[in-house]
Amino acid sequence: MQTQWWRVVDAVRNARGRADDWLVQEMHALYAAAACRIGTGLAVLGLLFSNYSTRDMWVGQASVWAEPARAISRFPELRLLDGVSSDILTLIYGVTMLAAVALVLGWRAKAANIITFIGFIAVVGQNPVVGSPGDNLIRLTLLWLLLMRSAEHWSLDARRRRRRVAAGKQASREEDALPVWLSSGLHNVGLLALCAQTVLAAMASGLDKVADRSWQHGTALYSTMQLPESRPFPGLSDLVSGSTVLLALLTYGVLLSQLFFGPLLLNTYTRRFVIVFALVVNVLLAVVFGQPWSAISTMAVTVLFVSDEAWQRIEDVVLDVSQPLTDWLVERGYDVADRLDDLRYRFVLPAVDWVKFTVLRR
Amino acid sequence: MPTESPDAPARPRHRWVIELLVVVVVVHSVILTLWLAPASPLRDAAGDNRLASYVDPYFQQGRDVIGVGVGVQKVDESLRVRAVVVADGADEGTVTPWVNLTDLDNKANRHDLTGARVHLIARRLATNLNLAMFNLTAAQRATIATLTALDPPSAVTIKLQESGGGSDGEAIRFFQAYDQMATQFVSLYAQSRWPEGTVEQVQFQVGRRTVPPYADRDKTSVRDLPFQTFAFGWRLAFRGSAEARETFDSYVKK
Repeated sequence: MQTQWWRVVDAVRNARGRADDWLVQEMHALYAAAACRIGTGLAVLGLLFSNYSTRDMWVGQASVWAEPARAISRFPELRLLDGVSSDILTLIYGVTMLAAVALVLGWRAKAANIITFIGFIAVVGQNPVVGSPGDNLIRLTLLWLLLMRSAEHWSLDARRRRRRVAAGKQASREEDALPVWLSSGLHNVGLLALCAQTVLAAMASGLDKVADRSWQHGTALYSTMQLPESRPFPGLSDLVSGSTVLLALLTYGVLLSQLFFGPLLLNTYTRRFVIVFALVVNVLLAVVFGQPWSAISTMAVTVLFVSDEAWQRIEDVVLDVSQPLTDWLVERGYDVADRLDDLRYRFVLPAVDWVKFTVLRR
Repeated sequence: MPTESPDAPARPRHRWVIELLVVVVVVHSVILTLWLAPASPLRDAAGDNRLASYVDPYFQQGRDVIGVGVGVQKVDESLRVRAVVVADGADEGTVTPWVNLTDLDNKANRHDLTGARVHLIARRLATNLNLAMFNLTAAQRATIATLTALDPPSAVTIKLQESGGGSDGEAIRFFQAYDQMATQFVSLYAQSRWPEGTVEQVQFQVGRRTVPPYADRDKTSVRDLPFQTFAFGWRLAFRGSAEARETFDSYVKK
């Protein structure tokens, strides 16, 4: 009996050890985290950019009418922009947009992530009446990304680190701030949480839909496509809703990509299929229903499940394909530089000489 | 006695910090699972209010964060406004024609993949006002239709309580919150839309029409159906700050 007990203890201890090793030995899915950072940053940037010209109406002084909605909202961060002048709003809005650009480029990514997170909550949460469920996904993704190392690839931070290492200097001071095991652990915990959140959200959404008869019959999207605010391109909406096959394909596509998202991730081949399928469905949703920023944020968390090996293969293919274009652009860059130099010699330097010898000599 | 594998890698002493965080993530995920799951004895045991108190203020994760609610909304709604405008030097005001704000927003969004959020305001106010009206009794709705600009909010509350026959106070609060929001929004809009005089009073009207079933798609469309409307009496116009009026001016005149 005692031997059996020790066996159980041993098994638990080994399992804990393996889990610890997975958590603290190395960071996982660093390419996927980078892709998620870029996608989420683009979603924030797109949303803020497309609302920039109407920001005062949306969340500024002219949104005074939304005060009762703000009063009943229990979200504490709302007060950051409460009642501020148009200039302050523009400043905070601009800083958040710049931070989102920095997040996409991976320039000081951790600081950019923090500023984007706070700015996004302050701006978007300021008018709860026109909030979107997609905003919650962006906010939660930015929150979990705070724990993660999302700038190890495809970022200016990574390039700077590579250059410092090549020059024989320390990679960066930020990397030394935490012990490696803690840094790895935090990254992996954030990754786990974000993945769990994504799977839960997709499956809950699918379960909710599958109980509805119109989703079972493949016609659920018909009603949404008839609503004026959900048909930015009426011709496209009529084309899809007018065809029973197209409508059913899109409806079942949405349903299946959500309902089976979690289970299909468990096998390598089905995982590839469901990720590509979910991405395609989101592109269609973005175009047909005019919700690009929500779709991009969903795609950003979907690609978290693409393995680092697959990302490396994609990177190789993209580099191979883009190489001729990059070379061409560099060549044209030299041509442009030559032309500019020529113009400088023909016009600028003679003008400077003329000023020197005629105007200044007097 | 348990045995340690000789080739086990050296593990950091304070790794319990990470283990603790994993436990927090697992607990958080379980709560979210319960929150998002369909009704079940397990969810009932956890209690809806207890789950909501954790999820709602900070995480606000609904079932529609992915796919943002497509296939859920099946009703077209409208918000219309008119106003009493007193021309400079005149004793009496004139009533303007109705303007359909949701229609204007839909036109602005046509062929625009990245439509601005402000074009959702009228629609969202209409949705919430319709919901507020359905939460009230028929007698309360009749009372609301007869309200005048001279009725202050406190008097409206009393009237609704009296005509409600002890109905839900939360429904009255919800209605009054959205009534105030709609009054202020349409007032600011009206002042920019009809600048030739002073906007003294405003009135709004919300409508709804349900998309016909898919089976009837060849016979009728939602655009063929009339809106079923709720009337809201007149309200005193809200002036708003100079900055707010200026912003509405540039928005309405675009």
